[in-house]
Amino acid sequence: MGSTSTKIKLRTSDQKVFEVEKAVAVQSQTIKYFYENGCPGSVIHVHSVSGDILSKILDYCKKHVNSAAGKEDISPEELYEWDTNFVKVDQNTLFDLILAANCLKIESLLDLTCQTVANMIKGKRPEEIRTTFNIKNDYTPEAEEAVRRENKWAFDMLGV
Amino acid sequence: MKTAFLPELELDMEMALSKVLRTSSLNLNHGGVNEEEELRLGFVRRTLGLGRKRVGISNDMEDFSPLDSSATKLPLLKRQCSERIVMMVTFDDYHEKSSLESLPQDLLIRIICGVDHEDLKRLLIVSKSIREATVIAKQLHFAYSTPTKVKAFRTSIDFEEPSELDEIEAPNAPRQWRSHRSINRNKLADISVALFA
Repeated sequence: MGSTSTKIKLRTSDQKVFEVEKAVAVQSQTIKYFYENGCPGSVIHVHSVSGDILSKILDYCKKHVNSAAGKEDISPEELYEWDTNFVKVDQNTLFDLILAANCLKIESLLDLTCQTVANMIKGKRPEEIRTTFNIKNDYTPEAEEAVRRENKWAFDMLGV
Repeated sequence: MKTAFLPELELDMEMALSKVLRTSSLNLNHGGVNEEEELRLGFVRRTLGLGRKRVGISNDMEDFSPLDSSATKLPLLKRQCSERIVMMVTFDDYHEKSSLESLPQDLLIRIICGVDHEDLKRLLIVSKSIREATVIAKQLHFAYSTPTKVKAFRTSIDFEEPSELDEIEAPNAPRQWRSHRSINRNKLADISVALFA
């Protein structure tokens, strides 16, 4: 039973079925667990992930498996570049990827996507962060003032 | 009388519908719709966030819905959807909620751990839930990490030239070769002899 030829079937929340090489699918610790502890050949239900998101995630896993196994000649810089382009998606997709990576337990993808959001926060002022992520300011003016006062020196320095 | 404010309610529910679907990575518009299953998934997703309102399942629609038998004019499927969605959202959720804030708190903390030290103060006043996560991230992560090098006094000129903020190596600095190899038991023995002879 060659590990490369073994396929794992995955069914998404919107009932799409994916047939994936085992080596690619077990990048997800969750799928690996279900594969090793479930009946061989059975379909694994990936309830919380939609087909669109799963196919993106599988692209990511495939790329990383192939480059690690040397099947694809790609330098670490090129892979980094590929990752950077991979997360150039709209915000909703990005957050869906985070949730899916978390649920499927793909650490490297979770790191990548979380860092992408962190980079969107870095260096921004509170108002800019609110606009970027459509966050409603739920502080009362007094409460906000109190928080600002606690950290007054920091805001003065940054001219916020 | 009731029909007058039905459209508005419908709109609210549509908003809630799209929002819930988005945050739970589901898509009702897709081909094979399995509402029962998606509904269940919705519940799972909504209960992940800490410090957020849990979703109450209620069959008693009269509690918060003015919909009654007069609403049967609505297309059946739409109405079913609306009712189910109402079960999934609380009043709190009727407000448009940011996708960032609707993440489970552990993920939010993980994201915040990826920012720089100086971003923390600004994150504190973004909103209450962000502040909560920031405070935890600070205790968990930032208390144990070294801030990146920044100049003690920054001027507006520094901000315009971000390259200036990058770590600058001293010119012609000799490369250091210090390592554990230099500590040698024999040498230490010599020293102790020399000192106490």
